[in-house]
Amino acid sequence: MYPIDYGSMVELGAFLALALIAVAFSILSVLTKDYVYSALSLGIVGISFAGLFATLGYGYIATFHLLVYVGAAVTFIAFSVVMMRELPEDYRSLKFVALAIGELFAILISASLLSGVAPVQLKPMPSLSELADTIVSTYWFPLLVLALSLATVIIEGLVIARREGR
Amino acid sequence: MISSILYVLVSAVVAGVGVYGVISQRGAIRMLIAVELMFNAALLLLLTFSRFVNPLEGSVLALFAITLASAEVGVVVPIIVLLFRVFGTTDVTKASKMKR
Repeated sequence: MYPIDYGSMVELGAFLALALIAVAFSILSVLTKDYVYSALSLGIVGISFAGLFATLGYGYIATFHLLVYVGAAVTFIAFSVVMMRELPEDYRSLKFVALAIGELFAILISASLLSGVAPVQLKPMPSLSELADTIVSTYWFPLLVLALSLATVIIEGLVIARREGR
Repeated sequence: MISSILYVLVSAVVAGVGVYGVISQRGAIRMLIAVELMFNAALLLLLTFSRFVNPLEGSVLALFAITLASAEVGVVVPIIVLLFRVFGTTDVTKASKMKR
């Protein structure tokens, strides 16, 4: 008789719940007619993906994803769509073609990636200090470019806000 | 430990839904949301496979990717708001001319 590993069962249960929520709300975000529900569904997908990152062992990335992506980006989309209340029609004729292409895409990703999965040993996860040291020492130039691009986004927002005020 | 196959399947399904959304919708906001779904799926794949190769480099890449995706939203959403103000719609097929 094998001992029951409750830890693994809880982990698997959490993964299945998060995966189910992610898939269900991603479908809802594409199919729902209301933009607000669509944006809120994207937020729930973001939260469940952060949970999936955490089950992979990337706790810091999950926190960052929640704070920056869900907290800022998705909320920004949700507040912006309130200003644009309209119900655009979708391509009726393309719906089945799009469904076929989407399914084909999913099957191709699964097939191509799963054929290369081999049972290899997991590497140890980095600590927060290791992560910060690597970013500042090795990846200082991408960090600089990233800071400049974020500054550009702020300038763009200011320009559009000024345009609105005129 | 949960098998990587399950993570790959979840990201494949979400990416497929994103592709369906980009092709079947013509509202710019909904297309943006579908692209964001594909971004999330790609990020999950990146982190799943970086566990086996180099989790540190994968984490750095994921941090940069999340920040850039947020910046992308910050650029695209104001453009869509302007599009709505100029054309009265976010339908990308009706905004074929870049006129005021």
